[in-house]
Amino acid sequence: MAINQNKQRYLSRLEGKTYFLLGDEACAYGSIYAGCDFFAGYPITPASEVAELMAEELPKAGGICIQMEDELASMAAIIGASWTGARTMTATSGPGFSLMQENIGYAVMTETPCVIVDVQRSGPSTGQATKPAQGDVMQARWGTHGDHNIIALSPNSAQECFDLMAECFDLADIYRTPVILLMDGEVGHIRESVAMPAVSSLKHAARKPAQPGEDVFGGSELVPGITHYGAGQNVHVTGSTHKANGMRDVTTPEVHDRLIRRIYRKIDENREKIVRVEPNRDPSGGARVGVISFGATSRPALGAVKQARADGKQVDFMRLITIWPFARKQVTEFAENLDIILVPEMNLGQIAREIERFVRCEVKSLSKIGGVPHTVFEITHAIMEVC
Amino acid sequence: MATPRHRLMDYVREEIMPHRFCVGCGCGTVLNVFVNAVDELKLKPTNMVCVSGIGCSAWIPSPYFKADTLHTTHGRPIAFATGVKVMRPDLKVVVIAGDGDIAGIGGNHLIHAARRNIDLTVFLVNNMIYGMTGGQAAPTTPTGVRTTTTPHRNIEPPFHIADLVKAAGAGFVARWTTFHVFQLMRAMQQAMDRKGFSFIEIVSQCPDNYGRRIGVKSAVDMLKQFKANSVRISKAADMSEEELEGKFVVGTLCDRDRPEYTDELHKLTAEQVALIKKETTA
Amino acid sequence: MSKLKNHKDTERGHPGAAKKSGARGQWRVIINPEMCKGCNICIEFCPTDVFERSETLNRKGYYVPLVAKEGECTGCRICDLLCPELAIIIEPKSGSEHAK
Repeated sequence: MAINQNKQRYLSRLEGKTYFLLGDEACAYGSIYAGCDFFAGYPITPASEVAELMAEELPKAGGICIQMEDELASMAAIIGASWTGARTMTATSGPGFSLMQENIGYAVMTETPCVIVDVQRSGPSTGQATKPAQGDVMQARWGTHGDHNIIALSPNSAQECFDLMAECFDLADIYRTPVILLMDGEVGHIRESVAMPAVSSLKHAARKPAQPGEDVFGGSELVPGITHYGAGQNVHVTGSTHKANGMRDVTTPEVHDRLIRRIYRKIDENREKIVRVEPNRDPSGGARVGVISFGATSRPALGAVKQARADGKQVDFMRLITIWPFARKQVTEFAENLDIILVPEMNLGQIAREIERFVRCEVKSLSKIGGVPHTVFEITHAIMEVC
Repeated sequence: MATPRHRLMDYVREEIMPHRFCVGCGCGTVLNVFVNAVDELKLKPTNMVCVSGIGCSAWIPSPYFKADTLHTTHGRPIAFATGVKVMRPDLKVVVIAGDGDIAGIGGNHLIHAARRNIDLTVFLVNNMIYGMTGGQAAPTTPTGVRTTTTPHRNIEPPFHIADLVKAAGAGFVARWTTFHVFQLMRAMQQAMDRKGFSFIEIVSQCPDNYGRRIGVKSAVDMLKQFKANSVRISKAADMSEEELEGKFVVGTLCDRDRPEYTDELHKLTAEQVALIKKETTA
Repeated sequence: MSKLKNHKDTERGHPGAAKKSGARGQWRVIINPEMCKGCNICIEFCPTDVFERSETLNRKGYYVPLVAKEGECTGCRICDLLCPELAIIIEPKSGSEHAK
């Protein structure tokens, strides 16, 4: 997909430079780099900075940025805008993410590409509004009602907040699905160096267009081609169960079965192409203890692993970049020769529970809530206890 | 001799007609008047996007109107429509949905869109009940009425939606009933032919899930009541609140020019783009 | 077959009604029987009583009104617009001043 002239001009001012940015800000710049045309959001700590920077910068690149009256409206607006062919996104935190769930389900059901940034904060409810957490992992997977699948990625640095946006938008367009960037408040509010790539290196995936008259909601492919408003195709988009041509049919069981399973399989059968992890095996190859982590926690976790190795221990490490679909193959392989896997996370064991399903060894959740991230010492101590 | 085809069938998805609305349903009349208005205005459906929520009236455009349509979650069509409109200001975006949808659960989006004066046309079909789900009380149900969720009596006063939308800042606001088909058609044309938030509250009959419960047995009788209880806005100005109790004040409540949201938004974006162009080509 | 009683309490006169008798007799009035749901709105609101109840059933079991007095039609189109089913076609007779 070509980058338009306004965006080119805007990005030419940034490319090749390094900036000292908040994770939230890096996310905003990364979205513009990734071709975001439209942002709609609502203020919420710790995600407001995404909206604020988008409001400042997106118009300069020729994009449209608006503030809606609430999060439900923000999610609604980005879906409507997506059907005009635009790359759209919103940003929020836990309480707003909860409000968006109904419309996220609508995006899943209508196979609307869009990106939702959830900068997780300590919950439930208002919780510790200004403190980080990783408690929305399961909500990202199952927050909206009904059987569905979803893609969620988790950055662990400001640079990754920037880099992963391109991946989010590409995955959304390729698989015609909402994609969630599961940031945590710690990464959202960290300030780090972010390097802006050259515009010439940018390559965006594009939505597969439907041929005129071709069905937009089904067919022989797992991901049908899409058409947009104003193309004269009379496209009928509905959240009700529908046939391949988009027309409602809630009475025929086979229609629902076919639609829901295909939407589910779109992501399920493309795991190889979607799931990314960052393994870091012990150099000896003989570790019996492993640590799996993601997001902000992965940094003290890797620090702890390195500390333990420096103290002569053999420890394997893996960071999950893709949270959903879950990296079950990679986790199973990782656990093959291990006796125990430690899972530090800022929640009550949501990823640990998922890992348990795919490994035979012991899984120990190092859960820490209260708004303060794990320290290297805490995790090192836990590793030493089991080594 | 074969029955001739109605000249407006081109605007409708003929393969699924006759539609599913009940006998005498006002939604059918609104669909009828709407396609007449589109035809008279010479609007091309290929330049339109119709957005609707959940409820019987939302079925007017989705699936029956032959154009690009967006059938959204309950109460949110105006928010979805906002996303469509700001990215494609050249398309005529029309929202058609019910009172429970737009003014009940969706009330927040309604008042903000009116405040922004965003260029959307909204036809709110007000049948004073949640019809599709079987006849539950709505924020527009008159006081005292027995419905399935107010089986003893409704203790709440109803909204005067058109007045609410006018107060929120909409550019064009009118109220008619499904009896006033000619006035409604003209108002629909006016609404679709102007810029800004153009809103019509259409009082409509739901014979099966409202009329039946209040003892008004047929669509005909409900329409007769609309006619009998309608008061022109010019006349209503001289009437007291008590005299207006139970009446429908019909006519145009306001028709004013105000800055329009999409225009302002694109103006701002163009300003910023120009600044960057200046900076990078200097 | 007895004719059903015709209700006559509809008030005459509304926008679009051509009251001049000259306009009468220049219109064809057709009901598409398979679209009709027998709501009787057209019967009740026609200002010149063109329609009457009948006992003609369509395929879905609705009583389709009879165009009893086509000659009385003034072309006001209130039935055309009120009909919830888009079932009524009002066309100028060929040769009439209203035909294009």
